[in-house]
Amino acid sequence: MVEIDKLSITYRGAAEAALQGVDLRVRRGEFLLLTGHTGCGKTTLVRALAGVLLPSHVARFEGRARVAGVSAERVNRSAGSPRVGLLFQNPDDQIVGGTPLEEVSFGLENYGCAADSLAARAGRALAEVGMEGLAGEPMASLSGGQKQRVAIAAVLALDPEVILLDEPTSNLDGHGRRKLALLLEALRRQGRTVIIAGHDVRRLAPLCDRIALLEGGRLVLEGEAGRELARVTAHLAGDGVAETAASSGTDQAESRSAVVRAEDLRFSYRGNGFSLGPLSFNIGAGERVALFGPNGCGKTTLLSLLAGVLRPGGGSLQVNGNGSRPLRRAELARNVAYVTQNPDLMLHRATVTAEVGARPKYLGRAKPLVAAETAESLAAFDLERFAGKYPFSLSQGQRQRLALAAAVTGGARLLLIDEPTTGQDMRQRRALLERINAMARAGLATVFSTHSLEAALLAADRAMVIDAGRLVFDGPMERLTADRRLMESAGLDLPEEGR
Amino acid sequence: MASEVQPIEAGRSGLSADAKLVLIVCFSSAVLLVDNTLSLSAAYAAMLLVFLATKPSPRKLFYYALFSLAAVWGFLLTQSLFYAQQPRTVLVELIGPETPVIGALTGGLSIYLEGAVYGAIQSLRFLAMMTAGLALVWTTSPHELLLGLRRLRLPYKAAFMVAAALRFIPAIASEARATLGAMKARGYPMRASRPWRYLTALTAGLTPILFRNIRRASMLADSVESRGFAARGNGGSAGARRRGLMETALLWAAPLLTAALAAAKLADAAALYGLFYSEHLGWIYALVETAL
Repeated sequence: MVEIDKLSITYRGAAEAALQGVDLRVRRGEFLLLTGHTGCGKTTLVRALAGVLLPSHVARFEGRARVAGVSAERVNRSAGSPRVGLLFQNPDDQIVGGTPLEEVSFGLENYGCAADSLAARAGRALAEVGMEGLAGEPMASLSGGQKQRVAIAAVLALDPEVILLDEPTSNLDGHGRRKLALLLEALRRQGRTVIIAGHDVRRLAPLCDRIALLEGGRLVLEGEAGRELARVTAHLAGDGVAETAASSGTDQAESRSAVVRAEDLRFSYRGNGFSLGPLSFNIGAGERVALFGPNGCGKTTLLSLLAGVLRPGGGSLQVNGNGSRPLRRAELARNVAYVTQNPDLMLHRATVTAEVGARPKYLGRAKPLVAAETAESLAAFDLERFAGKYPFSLSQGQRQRLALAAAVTGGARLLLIDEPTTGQDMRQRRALLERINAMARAGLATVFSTHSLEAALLAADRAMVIDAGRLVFDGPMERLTADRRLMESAGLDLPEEGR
Repeated sequence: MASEVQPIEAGRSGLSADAKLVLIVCFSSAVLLVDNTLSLSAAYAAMLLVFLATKPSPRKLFYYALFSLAAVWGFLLTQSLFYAQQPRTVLVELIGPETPVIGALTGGLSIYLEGAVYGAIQSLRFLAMMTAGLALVWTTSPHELLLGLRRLRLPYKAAFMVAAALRFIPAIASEARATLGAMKARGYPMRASRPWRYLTALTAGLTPILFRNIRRASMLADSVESRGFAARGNGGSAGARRRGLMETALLWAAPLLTAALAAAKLADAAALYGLFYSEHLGWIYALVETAL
């Protein structure tokens, strides 16, 4: 079904080819997992197979790629229907319609589907993903998981022979991932050929027949998914240690001074009816807290409240405060470091040095102190060699590291990170979690939201689970992992041994 | 299992996007042609009623009032101060021509009555058009706009770009909020007492927002290309409902009325400059003088 022969792709201005002589075959009805570190060439290969990356002055092609007997360059340009359907991780980046029906109709119209059969085909595709009842709903009212199902329906409606999924699980909680697995099973029953590009090897490999590992643009390993999983995982972990290693943990002092004190904390958004709280909890110095819950439960809202970006609607919230007075914004900024869900949105300065030095400068520190703290952070986060570079010229992992450095430079008592591991490969994820642990050992309290139990096991000693705006669990990680029902309600996949 | 879904525009009441666009173009042309303050006020008041009938949220109303006041203030101030035509009546003299140095440099600075009236007329024109545009944007989904532009024979790819740009406004606004939030959390001094700080923050925040949107645009392009955008380039027209009788009548009447208004103003101008005059058109001259 898919034949790739010695395919090399070099982007203009790049020192090395993004893909180097890749040979790969995918049979009809086969599910292939394409994995590797960030920047290994997965997305380039996916884009080339989807016919959206074409030989041009920007990308030089050697070798060839064919899908169902057609050159990859032509897969979506022929009349009738496309040979390949393409799905990205974030449905918001690909949805063009205002309702599920509009979205599914988009491709059908492009391929000249007659108006009288369009509604029927769109309806069938929506029914396949269980979205037929919401065909006319505004897209803005749908959850992330529902939007992803709509995006899948938009591809299924075109009846492609091969479906390419780029990082399909990275934005999904456990419920979403389970639904995706069911959907993939349905695609398998229909005999479709599926290629999944992703980092989440542990969850994706069991859904696939074969696995292919790319490294620096080369195909370095290929084989049966079940047989090669351990080798691939070891390779991705960098030193043969799988990510499910036990938590190193930190010594927990029995009586930590509270950095955060929340009493009946409440917040409501105007307009959409969502409300958070009342929540009551304390967080001690050096404590590492993982915040769990399904998509849309209020995790980001809670972090924004703790960071002072949102103001509480009721109750009391004290961050590093001893008296009854809540901290003012400037005091909060001195005590709290906050890394947003998309760290790129934090980077607004012209150089890495300026970015790292922005926080102490904004906090009003003297120039020599700003320079000293910046230099210290650049060294601590291994960013010295990029000091004069433009932040957006760095790789994704380096930008994440820069955002973390930019958030904590100048000192803080509390570090808040929203979904730190999303979109990170295994090596980057582990490096980031090790940094969090190091900062916690130095006394920094850390709260991070995540859908990844593995990440929490590596970098948290306490779990808080939020469901529909309410705190339904607050306790040690071990207690959470021992409670199967709670794990499910938190949108978490059960640990391997618990299944 | 085959599922029954309704066509995109089925069951929707009110005007289609193309009808709204035609009406707005006609309305905007009319307010540009009319000079009479009373008629312009009536046109603005009528459009304001239409706008309020769309039931904007209190937040939208707040921003609408804010922009309207800023526009009126700007037009009145600039036109009152810098009105250059004659005759002009000085209402208040701010700097006399005989004031040392600055008087000689500026030739004096005054607020003129005629300038204020002209500024009021320009404000009414601007407000009427802005209100009409907002009423369209806040009552039309991007896909309805795409359908409307296609029915107006705009090329599919151009119509798609307009609709896609509208579709991503909420996402961009949300990212702008996240960026400003992150800056605040890092101590960036944004206070109500120093509103220019918000402006400088927004300027600095443009970099990450632009970067994110270039990335999004690239992914969106890949996604639509993989769904045949370049295959035929002929979408954006299915799912549209048939135009009703009332809507059709409106679509004919509005351009005809606008053309009639333009013809009346042209005839009046021709008579005024001695190019053409006819006694039979006396009632038109009178109408233009008194109401238009």
